[in-house]
Amino acid sequence: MRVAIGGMLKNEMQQAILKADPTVETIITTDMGAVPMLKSGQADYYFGACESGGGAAISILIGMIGYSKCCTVCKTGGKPNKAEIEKYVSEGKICFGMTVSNIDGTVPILMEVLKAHT
Amino acid sequence: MEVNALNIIIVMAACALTAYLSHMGMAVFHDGIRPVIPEYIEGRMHRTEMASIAFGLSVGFIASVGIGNALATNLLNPWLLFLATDIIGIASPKKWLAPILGGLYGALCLTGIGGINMVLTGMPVDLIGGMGEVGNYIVTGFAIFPIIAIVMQFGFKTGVITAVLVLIFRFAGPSFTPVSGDAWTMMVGVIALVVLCVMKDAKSGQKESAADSLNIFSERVARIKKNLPFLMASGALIAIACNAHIFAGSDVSMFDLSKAYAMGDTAEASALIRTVAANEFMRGLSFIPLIATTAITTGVYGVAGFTFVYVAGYLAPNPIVAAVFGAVIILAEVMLLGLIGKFLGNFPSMRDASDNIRSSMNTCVEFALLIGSVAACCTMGASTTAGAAGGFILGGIIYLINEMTGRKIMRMAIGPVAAIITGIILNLTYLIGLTPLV
Repeated sequence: MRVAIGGMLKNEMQQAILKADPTVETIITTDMGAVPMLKSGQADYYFGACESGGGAAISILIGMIGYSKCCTVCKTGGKPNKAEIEKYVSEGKICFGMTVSNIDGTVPILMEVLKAHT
Repeated sequence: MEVNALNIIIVMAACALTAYLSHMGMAVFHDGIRPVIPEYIEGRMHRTEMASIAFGLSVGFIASVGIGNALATNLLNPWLLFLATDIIGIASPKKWLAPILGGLYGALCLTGIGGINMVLTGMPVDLIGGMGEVGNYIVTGFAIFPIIAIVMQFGFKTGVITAVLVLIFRFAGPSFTPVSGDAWTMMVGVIALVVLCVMKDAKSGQKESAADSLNIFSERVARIKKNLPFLMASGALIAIACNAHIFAGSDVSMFDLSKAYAMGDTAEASALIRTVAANEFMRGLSFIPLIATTAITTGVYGVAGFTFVYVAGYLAPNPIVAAVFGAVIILAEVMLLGLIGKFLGNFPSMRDASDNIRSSMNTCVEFALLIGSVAACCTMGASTTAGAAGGFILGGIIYLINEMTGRKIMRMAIGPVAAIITGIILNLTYLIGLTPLV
């Protein structure tokens, strides 16, 4: 699995992903840099964090990859919901935004769902 | 923050207009709502669905940073006002309803926050005085951000070397120049960051293909230009609100502005306002790539543009000058939008740096706010028999409970919110005779 990382606190995001699964290949880039990677298959998924989980994290992806492929998995003040994430993944979403305040709480659940999916 | 007829009119006008801008899809404050608006305009989404997205993205912000910081500073802020007017505008089923509801919301915020602040001021254990400590380290803490951005982007070793270099200038600089230690810290750090970025770009010398994809959005830029009169009016009104000392633009500025406005018309106050304006300007620069790219790809602008209108509002000598500057700044920003887009497309490393800078600014401000808030808790505790440690333990328990329950209150807001709650608890324990004043 290859995950492109954009948005805020990319280092923390990378550490959280590798902690959940050390075999994942992570690519630190930007939201805009991730667009060609996702289109060419160089990356399978995109993770991004911002304050709200839906702003800087995935807004460019929504504009350039399409709304149908993007979702917010953890909003400000919220908790990630495993059933909801499973629904998103089965709908074919590949770009995941989350609040920067809860990267460590969200990534393990998201990775669990993605691993079960593949 | 004075609640008078003129201020109420200013806030109502600003909120009415921003709610209208949001309803028409011309501009929103939240960067995440911007890309959703074309989904609605182009018919792939209903207004109700869009409203629920806007509500979901923003409600946590309004409740924690918006209300919490407004109470702590007694100044209105964009999260409290404009995230709400985003939602109000989008949710309004009719065009004429948006500005009416927006205006009413603005009046409610100004009188509500002003009223609650008055109640807090009258409490036996001094809450407002203690809250003054919250912002103690913001200016210094903010000055650390270039070092943290360098650590994020260039690793531990480069970061430590920069930190040592910066500290040498910080301690030695003020002895031979009138420039303050904080200004030296920030200046040397920013120069180091820019030099490192340029060196990296020169070495790699590659340009990513995102350049072309940004140019295809000229139609959307044209849409923003068409809305210019409304956007300029919004910039002018927000600058007036800043100038009237009832509104602060960000967490970087609000605590020190609150302190400066409390000092009255002194030389010290105006020096502090200038420092705050410089920091707000730096913050604005770091947000350009984000706001510009989301605006270019969606055709929806920001209600405060690149946020430079705040700086104009703080520094302008009177509201009329503030309004003129506010409008002209928005005009210049929108005219330059196409050029900025092209530039960002050609230098993707600028966007990368901007992500890291925004992250590091947040990290530094959150840290400074937390330490300042702990100091505030201790000061409030020390004024009673609970003692400084008593204040510390109250604040500490609130902070750690929030940490352990998934951070319902954002990192940026938990410090001030914990300090306010600590103050209220100390007042309650005072009332039942548990912690008399000393």
